[in-house]
Amino acid sequence: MSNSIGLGEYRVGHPGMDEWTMHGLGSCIGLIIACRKTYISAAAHIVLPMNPSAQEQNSGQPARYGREAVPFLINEMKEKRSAEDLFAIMVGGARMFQFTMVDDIGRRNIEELRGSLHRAGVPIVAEDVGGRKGRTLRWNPTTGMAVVTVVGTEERELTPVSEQFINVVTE
Amino acid sequence: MPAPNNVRRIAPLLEGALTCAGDSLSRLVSEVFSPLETDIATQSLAEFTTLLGKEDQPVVVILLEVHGDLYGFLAIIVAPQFAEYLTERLIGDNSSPDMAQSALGELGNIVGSAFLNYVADSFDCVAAPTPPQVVHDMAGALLSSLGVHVASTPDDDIPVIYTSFSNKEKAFTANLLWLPQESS
Repeated sequence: MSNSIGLGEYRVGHPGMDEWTMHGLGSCIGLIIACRKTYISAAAHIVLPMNPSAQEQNSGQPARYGREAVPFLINEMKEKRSAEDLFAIMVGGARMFQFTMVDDIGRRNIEELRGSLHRAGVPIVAEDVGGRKGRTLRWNPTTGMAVVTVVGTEERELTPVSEQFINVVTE
Repeated sequence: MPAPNNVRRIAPLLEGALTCAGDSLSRLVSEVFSPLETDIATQSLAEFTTLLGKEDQPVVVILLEVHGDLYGFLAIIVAPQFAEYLTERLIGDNSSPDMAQSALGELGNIVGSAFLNYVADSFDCVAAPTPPQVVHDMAGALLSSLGVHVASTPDDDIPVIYTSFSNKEKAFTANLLWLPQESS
């Protein structure tokens, strides 16, 4: 079974849970943060780099915005005593169309998340970002395996072997 | 000039424009394409992203960005098999991807212009489309990227004029979306 994570949604979970999927990531980014000690992981489907309403410091939808998503997910993991020794995987941020009057939101999403993860001290161990192709990201909270699919290509495993959840005893 | 808030008031005119676009498609491929359904609605970004069903199904989008008095985005979306069929009908050959891309772009120009000219003439205003972009990818990736650009904020509803055309056997369906925007 697979659990879809829609635009602006998030999950926090542990080994034994069903796989999570973020379908059709274009300029959006699928972000995974995982704890090497407890194997608790979190995921967000990020839409924009930051809340366009500059007056609002807190949008109330933290998983939508890159700037808010990282501290929010880490805080959620902290509540499960899993906020140390983290790593991140990110997928998406493509430029699907060339618009004449707007920025490349995919590139801005990537830059915001890289900065936000760096500030939080969370290393990115794997990423598949940018370019002109849409992607689907699947995350297995039990094995720690991230798999990315692009139209017309074979699916590809992203998580480095050294970061996969080996020897995890599921509930 | 149909700004988003006025879309519902001009529904009959838009239906005329969509019919005009369908007639244009029929003439182009020498096969009758009739409208299946037309919807004029506002949708959340999440609804818009799943407008065509499964988010990771492959589709071909022909996108025109429209400037002038009539500002917005016009997209023609078809299944890859239908894109191949259209290309064969238009140029009789599918062997060159560049030619196929170009033929689909031209189809977007002609069908899109039929829609835009009808609306522009009715309002006595100018609609200036950019050259078409033809993109083959996941429906969700394309629609979410377009939706994020169209919505001022992710909470905004997106005004969508949507219709689909099908041939007699209903073997092929073409979706036409018009996303009107406030002029900048």
